Amino acid sequence: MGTPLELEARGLSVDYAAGNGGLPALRGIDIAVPAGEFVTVLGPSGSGKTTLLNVLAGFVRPTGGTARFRGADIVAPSAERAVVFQRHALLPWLDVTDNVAYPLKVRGLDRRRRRRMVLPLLHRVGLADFAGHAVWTLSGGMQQRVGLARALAADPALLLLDEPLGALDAITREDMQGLLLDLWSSSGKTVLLITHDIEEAVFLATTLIVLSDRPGRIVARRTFDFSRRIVAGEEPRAVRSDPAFAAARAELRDLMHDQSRIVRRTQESLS
Amino acid sequence: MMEALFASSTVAVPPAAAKPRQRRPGRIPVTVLASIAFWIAVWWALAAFAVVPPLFLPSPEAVANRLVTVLTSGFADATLLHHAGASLARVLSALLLALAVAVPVGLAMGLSPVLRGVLDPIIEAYRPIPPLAYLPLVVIWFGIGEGAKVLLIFLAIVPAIALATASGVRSVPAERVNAARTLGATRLQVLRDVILPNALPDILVGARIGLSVGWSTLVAAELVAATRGLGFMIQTASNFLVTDVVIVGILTIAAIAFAMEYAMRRLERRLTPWKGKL
Repeated sequence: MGTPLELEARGLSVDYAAGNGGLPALRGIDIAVPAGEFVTVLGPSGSGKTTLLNVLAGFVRPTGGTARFRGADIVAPSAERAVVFQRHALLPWLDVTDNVAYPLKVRGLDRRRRRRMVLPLLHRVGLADFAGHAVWTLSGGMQQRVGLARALAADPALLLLDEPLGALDAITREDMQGLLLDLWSSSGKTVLLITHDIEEAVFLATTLIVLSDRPGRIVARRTFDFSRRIVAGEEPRAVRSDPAFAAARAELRDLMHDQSRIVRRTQESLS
Repeated sequence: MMEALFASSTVAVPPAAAKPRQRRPGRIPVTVLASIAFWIAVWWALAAFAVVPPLFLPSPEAVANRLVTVLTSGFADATLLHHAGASLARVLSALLLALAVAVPVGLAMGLSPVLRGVLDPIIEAYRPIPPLAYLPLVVIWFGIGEGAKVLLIFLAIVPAIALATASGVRSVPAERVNAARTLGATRLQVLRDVILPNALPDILVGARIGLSVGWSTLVAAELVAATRGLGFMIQTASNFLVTDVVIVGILTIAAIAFAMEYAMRRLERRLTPWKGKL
């Protein structure tokens, strides 16, 4: 056996109990992620992307197959696998520092030590000047920076990102993508990001997985080096205008369109 | 020239004008004051033109004069402040007890479907019953002392706070709880650091509703064997047809309840400025 896998799923299926039978959400998912990868999961709404993330985080138990982290079955949430959500995940009654320091608080570190440990993180995400601000007064992009810094404070091996940039405007989004790559490369953590944005998925991924419409199956896997090139110092704008980038984007767009065409045909045949 | 024009026009617009007008917290709006003034005027007119005999509706002056005598020499062996103090102590101690009991009950109902199934029918069954209806039972079981009075008000307040707390617990976004769990929080830490603070706005709303229910139960609580209290004062006055004291009592309860409602709103703004924001 080569290097042990950070994250592994074999024949993973999830059905949600609903009415008679059950609602199939995921079918036969196989993934194998070595440490240090940046995996993006692309799929239309309702493709079970979030279900996949919920299984990997330990919120949902698979109904079939296995999901493993470092060789052990995932059965419950753990600080080794921190999740950043799109919204509603911060604690609005705490200021920026206390939100970021929360993972340290639950470990029993005293206040002064927490503050000392959090400050470099705030610098890294560009929030050092907002340490004492109430989180609900910040913009959406800044709130997501708080969420990222907080996840990093837990020092997880794996970062699970559930469309963390989904609610942001285009420019803030690009800034945040740069920040994500920066944090990924400097921390060496494994990242799995869920998105429905094709460009974002291609831009960030070392490995990209495309899920079909419900129930989600893997319909395509790609490996890219755009994010590694940016980490190595290439200009993001140059990478985005690379013909290979455009080609990858176009190919995935066609693939996604085919997915939705299948939906349309099914709907037509039903009506 | 143009530059000067532009410059002056930018300066001329004060930054506050760009924002939508907001009422400064802590100021009573003109409409409220106007409404109060209007109804006092109506009251005065009804009494002054003898539309209603003074036995049924004494004039505002008579009530004001009575207020002064009740404040200074008292009515039914105690001054107005003593009566108000006794009632306030009952309502506030009932509120504190209710918070101590109803918040854990509400948490349990919000967290556990089993406990909700057990507790919900009890609360829903007695909640709509007027306290006056179960007052005899409280007296038979717990006597006529101070404890029984507080208990009656307490029973009236508990459902409001318990149900509000339970709904606050159930409204916690799943992401907030899940995120805390992946950051290493134990179930107890999630309860203390996420669920309870998240329910605080609802608990405060429950306490506000509970307070007004508490004041409306006060008169019933002071029906039996009280020697002090606004409810007792009103009942004594009504027995002797001293209508102006009845009105003094009613207005005093209204004023105290209004002041407490106002204080609770200030408290809400202070403790939960983030309510509905994130």
